[in-house]
Amino acid sequence: MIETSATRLLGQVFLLLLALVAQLVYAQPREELLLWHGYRGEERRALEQLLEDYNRNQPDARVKALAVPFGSFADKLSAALPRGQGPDLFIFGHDRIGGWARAGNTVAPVDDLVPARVLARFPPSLVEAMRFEGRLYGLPFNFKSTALIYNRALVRHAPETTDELLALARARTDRRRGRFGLAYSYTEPFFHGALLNSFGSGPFDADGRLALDSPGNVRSLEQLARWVREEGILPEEPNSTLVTNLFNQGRAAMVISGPWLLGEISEGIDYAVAPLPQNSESGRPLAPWVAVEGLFLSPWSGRQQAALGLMNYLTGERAALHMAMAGGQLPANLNAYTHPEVARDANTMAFRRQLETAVPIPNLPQMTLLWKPLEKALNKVVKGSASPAGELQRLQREIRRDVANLQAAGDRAGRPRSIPAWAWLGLALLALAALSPALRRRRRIAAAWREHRTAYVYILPAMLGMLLLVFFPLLYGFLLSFTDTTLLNENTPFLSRWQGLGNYASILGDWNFWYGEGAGRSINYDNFYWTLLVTICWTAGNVVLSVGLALVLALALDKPILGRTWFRLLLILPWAIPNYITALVWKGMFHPQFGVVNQALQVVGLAPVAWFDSVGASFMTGLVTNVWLSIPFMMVVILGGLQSIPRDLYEAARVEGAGRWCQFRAITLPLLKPVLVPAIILSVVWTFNMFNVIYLVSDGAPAGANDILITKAFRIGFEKYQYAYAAAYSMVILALLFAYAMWQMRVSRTLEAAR
Amino acid sequence: MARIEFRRVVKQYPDSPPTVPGLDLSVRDGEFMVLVGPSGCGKSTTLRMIAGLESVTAGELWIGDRLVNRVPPGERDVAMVFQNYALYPHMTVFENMAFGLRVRREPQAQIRTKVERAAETLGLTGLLGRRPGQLSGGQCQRVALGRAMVRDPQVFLFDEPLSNLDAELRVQMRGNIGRLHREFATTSVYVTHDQVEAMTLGQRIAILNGGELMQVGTPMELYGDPDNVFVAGFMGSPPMNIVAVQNLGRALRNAVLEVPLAGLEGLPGELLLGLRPEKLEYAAAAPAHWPRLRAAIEMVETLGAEMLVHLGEGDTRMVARLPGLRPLAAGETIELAFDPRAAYLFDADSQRRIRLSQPVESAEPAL
Ligand SMILES: Nc1ncnc2c1ncn2[C@@H]1O[C@H](COP(=O)(O)OP(=O)(O)OP(=O)(O)O)[C@@H](O)[C@H]1O
Ligand SMILES: [Mg+2]
Repeated sequence: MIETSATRLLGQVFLLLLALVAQLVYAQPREELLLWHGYRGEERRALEQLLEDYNRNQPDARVKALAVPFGSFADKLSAALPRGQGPDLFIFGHDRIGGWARAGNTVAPVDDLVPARVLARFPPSLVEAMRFEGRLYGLPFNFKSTALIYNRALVRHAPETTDELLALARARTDRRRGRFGLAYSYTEPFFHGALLNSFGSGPFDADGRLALDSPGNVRSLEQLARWVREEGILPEEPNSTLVTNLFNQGRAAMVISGPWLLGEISEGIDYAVAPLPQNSESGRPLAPWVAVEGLFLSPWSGRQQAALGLMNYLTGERAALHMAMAGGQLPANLNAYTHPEVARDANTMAFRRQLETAVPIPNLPQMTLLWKPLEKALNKVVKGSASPAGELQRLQREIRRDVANLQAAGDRAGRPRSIPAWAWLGLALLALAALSPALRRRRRIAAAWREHRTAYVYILPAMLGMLLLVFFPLLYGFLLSFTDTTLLNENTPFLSRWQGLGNYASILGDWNFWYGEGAGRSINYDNFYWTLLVTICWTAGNVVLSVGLALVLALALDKPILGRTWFRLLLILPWAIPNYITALVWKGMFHPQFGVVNQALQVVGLAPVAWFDSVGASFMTGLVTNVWLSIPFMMVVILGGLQSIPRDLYEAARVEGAGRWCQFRAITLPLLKPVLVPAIILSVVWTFNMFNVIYLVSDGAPAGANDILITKAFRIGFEKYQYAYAAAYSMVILALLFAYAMWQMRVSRTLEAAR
Repeated sequence: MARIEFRRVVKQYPDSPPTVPGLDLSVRDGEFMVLVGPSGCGKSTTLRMIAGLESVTAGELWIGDRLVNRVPPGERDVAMVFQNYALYPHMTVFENMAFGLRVRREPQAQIRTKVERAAETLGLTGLLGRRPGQLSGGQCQRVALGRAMVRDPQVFLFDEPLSNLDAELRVQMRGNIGRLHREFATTSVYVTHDQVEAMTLGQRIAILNGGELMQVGTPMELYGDPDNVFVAGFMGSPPMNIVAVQNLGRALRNAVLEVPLAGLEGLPGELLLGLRPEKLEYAAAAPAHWPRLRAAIEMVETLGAEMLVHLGEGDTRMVARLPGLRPLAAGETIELAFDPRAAYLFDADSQRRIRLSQPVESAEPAL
C-alpha cells in the first residue's frame, strides 16, 4: 500500500521534473527582448525606469531586464551565449571583447548595423574601446575611470603636476600618527594604470604584442617604488577599504579612486574631484585606465532590429541624462554633459575631463591573463624584493609562455580530431568491467530490489542529487584534466582539446625548482613540489598546534576552576563566527601599519614585522589564523573525550602513587585516543584543503610562496584561465588525499587490532 | 602494619552541613574493621579520607605513627579496592597489577615475581595477557584485589567491593578476602551495606548513622548488647521488634502485652521495649511465669523450617520467628510468650539503652 503510493508519488515528481527540463531545453520563442545587466541599487533603478518608459512607447518591442549577480555575470555569459542561450543583449565591461570575439558565437559585430549618426554620440576613444581587430562589437554605454579626490580641508588646490603632488603629500604625511598625503590601491594594476600610461607605452605595443618590459613601463614602476619606499607618502598594504577609511577619517589628504568612492565618503568630509596631474617625470598627464561598459548584441538574437532599437534608445541623450542624474553614472554619450543640471556638478565634470587623458583598458584577450601576475609583480617591487626591470622582464617571459600555451590550444581547436580507436576500446572495456559484477549478481540485485523496494525508492532522490552534484562534476573534472581546455578554446568540441596525460606530466615532472642563475637565484614558488612541501608543512603545523593547544585548554577547563563555564563559552565563540570573517579580521590585525599585532609589538618595544613580506612570517599569519579557527572544535571534542574517562581511574592511580604527568601519560592520553584519532584525521583533511584562510589572510604572499595546493589550483583556473591544468591539479590533490585516507585507515585498523 | 586513628575528624563539603560531624574511631593494627550504615551515612567519605582522596576538614587522622592530614594519597602506603574495580581498560591484567609498582620504579624482575605470585594466589595466572574488557565481573574483582595485594601496603581499603557481583560469587569472594586477611593480617577497613558480609568478615564492626558513630564492637557485642535503638534495629534479620510501652511503675504495658518488672521507678512514663523475633515462643510450650502477648496475625512468611509471623494490634507491629510446625492463617489471634531477661529497654527520647539491675540486666546476650 505504502509502496505503491510512494512509487506513484515518485513517478509524478519525475514527470514534473521532465516537464521542467523540457521547458528549459525547448524554450518557446520569446516575444520579449531579454536584457542582462549586473547593476544594483540606484543604477538598477534608473535602468529599470528607462525600460519602463521604453516599453510604454514601444508596445511591440517589449524589453525584460534581468539583474545577474555581478560575481557570476561573466561566467553566466560565457556559459550561455556560445550555446545559443542567454539574452538578446547585455551590458558588460569592454575588456572581454577580445576573448569573446576569438571564442566566436558570443557577441555579434555591429559595424554594419549602427549608423554613423549614432556613433557620433561618443568620443572616439570610447568607440575605439569597442573595436577588436577592426570590427565594432558594441555601443559604449558609460565609463568609469579614476581621478584625484582630495580633502578640501587639507588641500586648497588640486596639484597640477606630480612634483606639486609630491610636495603637498610630503607636507601632509605623518607616518607616526597614521596620516598620509596620498592613498590609493597602488598594487592593483587597474590603479597603477595612471602611472603606467603616463609613459606612453602600456602593456602591449602598437601591434598588440606583449611589451611588459618596455622602458616606459619600467620607469613607471621605478617611480611608484620611489613614492612608496623613499618618499613614504603612501600607506603600506593598501586596499580599497583602507583607502576609504583613511579618507573618511581625514587621514588621507588625497586619494586616487573612481566615482564609486563618492557614495561612501562621510558627511563631514569636504571633498572635491580633479583630473590627475601632469607627470613631471614623463612630461605627460597621468592617464588612468578607463573601463567602458557597453551594450552588446547576442549573435543568436532573433530580433536584432528590435535589439538595435533598444541600443539606440539607451545610448540616446534622454537616456544618458537619466542614467547620469538618477543612476549616478558617467554616460558615454557626451551630449549629456552639456545639460545644465549635469554641467553644474563639478565632480561629475571632473571625471568627464579626466576622460580626455584616460586610456581604455586594452580589450585584447591576453589582458585577462595580466591582472593577477602584474599585481604580484607590483607587490614585489614596492616591497623591494625585486627590481622593476628584472621583475618586468621575468613577467614578460612568464606571460608570453602562458599566452603561447593558450594560443596553441586555441589554434589546435580549429582542427577537428577523430576519436582514436583505443579510446573506444578502453571505454567499452571499462563499461564491461563496471557491468560484469552487476550481471553476475543480477539475481541478488533483483531480489534485493524486490525486498527493499521502499527503501530504494526513498534513497533514490538523494542518489540522484549525489549523481548530479558530486559524481557528475567529479567525472567532468576528471575528463577535463586530460584536455588542454583554457579560456580561449573552451567552446570548441571536447575531443579537439584532448591531449592525454600532458597536464599530469607537466605538473609532476616540473623540475624547475629555481629561477635565475648564481647569486640572483631564487626558489620557483610555482613549482608543484614547493607547493606540496608548503601544504604538508601547513597541514602538519596546524594539526600539531591546534591539537596540542586544544588539549592543554581542554585539560585546564576539565578541572573545576572558577568561571569555567564562561571560559568554555569564550573559547567556543570563534566557532560561531563564519570563518571568512575571522580570517579577514586576522588579516586586518596583521596589517603592517595599522594592524594591532604590530602596534602591540611596538608597545612592548619590539620592531614591527612586515608580515606578508617574507615566507616565514607570512606562513605564520595563516598558521595563527587557522589554529585560532580550529581550536574550538578540537577543544569540544577533547573535552567530550575527557568527560568520558571514569574519575575513579584517576583516584586509583593517585592511591598507587602516580603523579599528574604520569596520570596524563598512563590514563588520559591512551583513553583519549578513540576521540583524538578521528579528530586528527578530520583536521588533516580540512586543513589540507583550507582555502579560505590562505586566500583571505596571506593570499599566498609573498609571490605565491605560501599558496597551498588548493589555492594554487584556484589561481591556475581562475587567474590564468588554464581550466584543464587546474582540473589536473585538483585530481592530483584528490589522489593525495585519497592515498592519505587509505593509509590512515590501515593505521587505525592496526591500532584497533592492537586493542 | 599500622593502626588507624580518627581524632575528632570533621568532613564538610562546601555549601552543605557536615557529612561527618566529628568522628572518633581507632582501627587496631592488623584488624579487619567493617564500616556499615544506611546509604549516605558517610561510609565512603570516611574511607576516602583514609585513602587521601578526600581532605580532612578538621581533626586529626593518624596512620601508624604519622599524622596524614596533609600527606598525598600516593605516600600513605594504602591500597584501595573500588566498587567498580577501576581497572585501566587499555592495559592488560599484568600491566594493571604492575602499574603501582612501576610508578614506584621497582626493578622489572621483582615486579614480575610479585605480580605472578599474586596472580597465582588469586587464580589469575592464565589471564595475565587479557584486557579488562575480556574478563568477567568476578575476574575483574580478583584483578582489582591483586592490584592492591602486590603493593603489600600498610592498610587495605575496600569500598563495597562485592556489591556488583551475584550472590554466589559474593560468598566465594568473601571467603577469598577473609582468607587473605588471615594470611597477611594487614590492617583493613571494609565498607559494606550487607549485614552478612559485615558479620562474617569483620573482627569489629563500626556502625555509622548520619556521620555519627553509633557503636563499635565485635559482631556478637553489637548483636547481643546494642547501645541504642539504631544499632538494635540495624543488626539481625529480621531486625529487633521495638514497641512503645507505658511504664506503670511495676510493669510495662501496651495493647498486646504486659511485663511485670522491678526497678522501673524513676524512669520516664514512655519507654521502648525491644524483643528479637527469635526470642518469641508459642505460649503453650513456654514456662508459666514468662509474660504473654496476644495479637492478630497479619501475614505469614514461610521459610521452610521456620516462618516469620507478622503481628499487628492497634499501633503495635511485631514479627516473630517461629518453628514452621503449625499452619497459621492471617486473621487468627495467637498467644506468644518470651523470657523477660531477653527484653531490651530504651529511652523513648534519647533512643539510648536503659540497663536495669533486675531482672533485664541479667539477660544473657541472646543466641
Ligand atoms: N562531593 C560532595 N559534595 C557534597 N556532598 C557530598 C559529596 N560527596 C558526598 N557527599 C554527601 O556526603 C554524604 C555521604 O556520602 P558517602 O558517599 O560517604 O555515603 P555512603 O555512606 O558511602 O553511601 P552509600 O552506601 O550509598 O555508598 C552524602 O549525603 C552525600 O550526598
Ligand atoms: Mg559509598
